[in-house]
Amino acid sequence: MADRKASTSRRSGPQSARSSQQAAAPAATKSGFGFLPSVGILPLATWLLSLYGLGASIYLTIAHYDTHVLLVCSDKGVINCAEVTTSSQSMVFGVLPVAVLGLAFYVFIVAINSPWAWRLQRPAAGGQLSAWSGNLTTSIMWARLISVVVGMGFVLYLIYAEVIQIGAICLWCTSVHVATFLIFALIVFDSSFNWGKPQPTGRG
Amino acid sequence: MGKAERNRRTITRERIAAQQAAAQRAEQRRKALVAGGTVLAVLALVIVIIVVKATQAPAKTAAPVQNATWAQEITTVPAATFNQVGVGASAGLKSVTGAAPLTSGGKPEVLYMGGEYCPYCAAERWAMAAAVSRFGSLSGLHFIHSSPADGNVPTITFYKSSYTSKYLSFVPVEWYGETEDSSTPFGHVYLQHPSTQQVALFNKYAGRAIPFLDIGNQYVLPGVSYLFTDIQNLTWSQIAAGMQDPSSKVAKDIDGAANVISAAICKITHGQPGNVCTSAGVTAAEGSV
Repeated sequence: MADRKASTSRRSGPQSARSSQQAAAPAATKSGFGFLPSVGILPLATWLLSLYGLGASIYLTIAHYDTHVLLVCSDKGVINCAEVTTSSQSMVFGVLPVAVLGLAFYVFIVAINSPWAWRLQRPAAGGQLSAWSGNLTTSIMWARLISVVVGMGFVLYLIYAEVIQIGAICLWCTSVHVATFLIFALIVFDSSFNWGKPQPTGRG
Repeated sequence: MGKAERNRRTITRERIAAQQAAAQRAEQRRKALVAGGTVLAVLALVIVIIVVKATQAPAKTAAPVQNATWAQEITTVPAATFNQVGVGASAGLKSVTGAAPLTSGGKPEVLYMGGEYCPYCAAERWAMAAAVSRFGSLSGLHFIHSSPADGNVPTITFYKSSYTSKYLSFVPVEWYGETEDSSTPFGHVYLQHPSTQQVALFNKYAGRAIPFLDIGNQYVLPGVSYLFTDIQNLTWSQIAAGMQDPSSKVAKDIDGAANVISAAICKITHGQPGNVCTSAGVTAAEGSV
């Protein structure tokens, strides 16, 4: 990986093109969100989707533990949140609620997709990456990619459980699945195009 | 350097630049293919799941089984076994304050509402059968499983059962059957129709979930006393036998829950019958009521 970075950094064409892209990104996200680090549209989209997933997971977890909290959802026919959230498949190994697992997943995903985490990977134009932060960046990229792949795998199992085993669809769960899929797609595209690319080290 | 040499160098540079640009475009295409292919593969898996479901034949429900030996075992658990188990692992009864007592036929009523498809009901029925059998005679039990798509938990059904007691009325309502029916609230066919009063109690206390147990409107169990996964992989015979063994996990779950339910029933029967309500198992469970 280090060799690839070094060899790529010697190529002036792509690097200068990328630097201009990253220099343009802050302008797109700074307006209206001055308190957030400027990271670009894709990272911001992953974070917003992660925040939605976290909110829905909190709601599902509360509804799991508090029987007085009813999910705003149809309870007739195929769309039936109660049937899904009270099914045997709503517990992993019979002890760990899927809702809690989803909540834990999204707490992690929100953190790792936050603009501050992305900023470590994409410093603003003129920023520099030390060797230490370069290693951290690689770790974050790996953690982000592995977590969304694992999350997407679990979502596929949950879709199988809903469609095949339970025969009912929980809209709230499905909205979290869609968010997870979108985050997965964005991270895969980002990793595919930006993996191993050197970060901007020059000024301006 | 001559003009011809300069031209040749310029052409060479342009050719190299064109080759680099082509390589760059090919690399971009390859990356796009990898990323797009990965995302499309995930979507394809989802579509496969939906197609499999669409072409799947509905799960068949096994016919109910009658077995006098197992029925005898679960309705005549020895008092010594109940006493040794005590509260066991049971949890969940809630007391109700300020509600009019639920009675029928001049006796306090124990109302159960559930469904044959439901795995939680499947677990709870064993304890209910054991508990109410201490106050009267429960017969006509059939052995079934919860829906194959919902745990396939071995259980009994109160559908077509009968109960006689001089202390209380036991009114079981197996609201839903096992066959799927997307037009009903719980997605399964109606088996027995509850009365308006029963539906009102369900709406008031059950949190829109089954099973629901109302003990004389003084205590309710909106949920379950133990995990159905504890008995999910056992047979009817193993569960019935396990209820006789106070050291077993089955007895701690089922007999423990039966003691708690019995303690609540004793409250509405005013301590009758004495041999049940003053037994060590029921007395130990009183603290949980």
